[in-house]
Amino acid sequence: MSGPSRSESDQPAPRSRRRLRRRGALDRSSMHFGPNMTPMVDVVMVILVFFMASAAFVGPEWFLKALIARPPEQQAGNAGGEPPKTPPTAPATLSTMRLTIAIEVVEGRTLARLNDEPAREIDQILASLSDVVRGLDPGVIAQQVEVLVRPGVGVAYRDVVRVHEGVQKLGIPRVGIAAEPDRPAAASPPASD
Amino acid sequence: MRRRSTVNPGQPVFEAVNVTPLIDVVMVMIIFFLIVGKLATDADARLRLPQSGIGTTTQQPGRTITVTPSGASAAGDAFGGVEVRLEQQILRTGAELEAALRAGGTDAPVTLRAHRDLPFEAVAPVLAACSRAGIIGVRLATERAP
Repeated sequence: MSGPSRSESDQPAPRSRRRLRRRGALDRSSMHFGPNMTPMVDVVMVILVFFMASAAFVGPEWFLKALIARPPEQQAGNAGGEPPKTPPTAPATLSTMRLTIAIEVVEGRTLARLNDEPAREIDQILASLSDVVRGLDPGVIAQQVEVLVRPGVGVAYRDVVRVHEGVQKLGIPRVGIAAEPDRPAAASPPASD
Repeated sequence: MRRRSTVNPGQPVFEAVNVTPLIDVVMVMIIFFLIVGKLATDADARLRLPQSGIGTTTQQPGRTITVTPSGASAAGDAFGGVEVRLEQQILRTGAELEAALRAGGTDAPVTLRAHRDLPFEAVAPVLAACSRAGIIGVRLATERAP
């Protein structure tokens, strides 16, 4: 009882004056019509910011098209017994220029080899691949150049995708990934043409 | 009394709608759905896709194979160290995956979502199973590089 009376004024506050004051405050608040939207706006604002932030953070997925190169035993005589449905455009049939990029882990570093060239960093391999296809017509590159990516054991999937992306950046859409990792025993692939 | 008569002559004081209970309920629902959404996508939260600077966005429907790391060890034909799912179905061996792919038909495009840190030999059996099922190509799902 002593608190409010001291805060209002130093003289003994009469009850009639206090009531008048309260009325005045009510009148002022009753000039704003409708519900009080402030808490709702606060919450909706938080939701909006949350979804905007999460959408920017996640982002849409991108897709890279990859062909699957058949393992040798399937290409050679169906050791599995059951004949797979032969696709009309098998990766091995259409190419006139067939390149192979083998990826391997050497002493903790991920290196790549273009055909039978010595192993180098992935960026250098992609640069030399770009030199190979530089003079070609884009239509020829799109139709007749085919790159097979052969990752070895221990190569991280992200490096496989990185090579894949780098090759497709050069305008080569036909990129195949071997369905079987290169084993160290079979590290030297049979020399093709 | 004089002030009230000038502002609101003879009218009852307008009672504002009390939205505080509504806000309370909405807040609880928001928190509920956020938690449920977090739990529902928990399996995919472990999946960090590799990054790519190029790619296409597509709305074409298809089937999704998800490869996430797991602690299990391989035995025989089984997938080692990874959990392989075709849509929501967990597949233990390459033969199971091949059968499931064949059962759904091989015309629809197949998307491969694999964790970026997996070694390739963990992903290769999935590709081999796709190949045996007659699928000639997959879409590799990547995260848009910044």
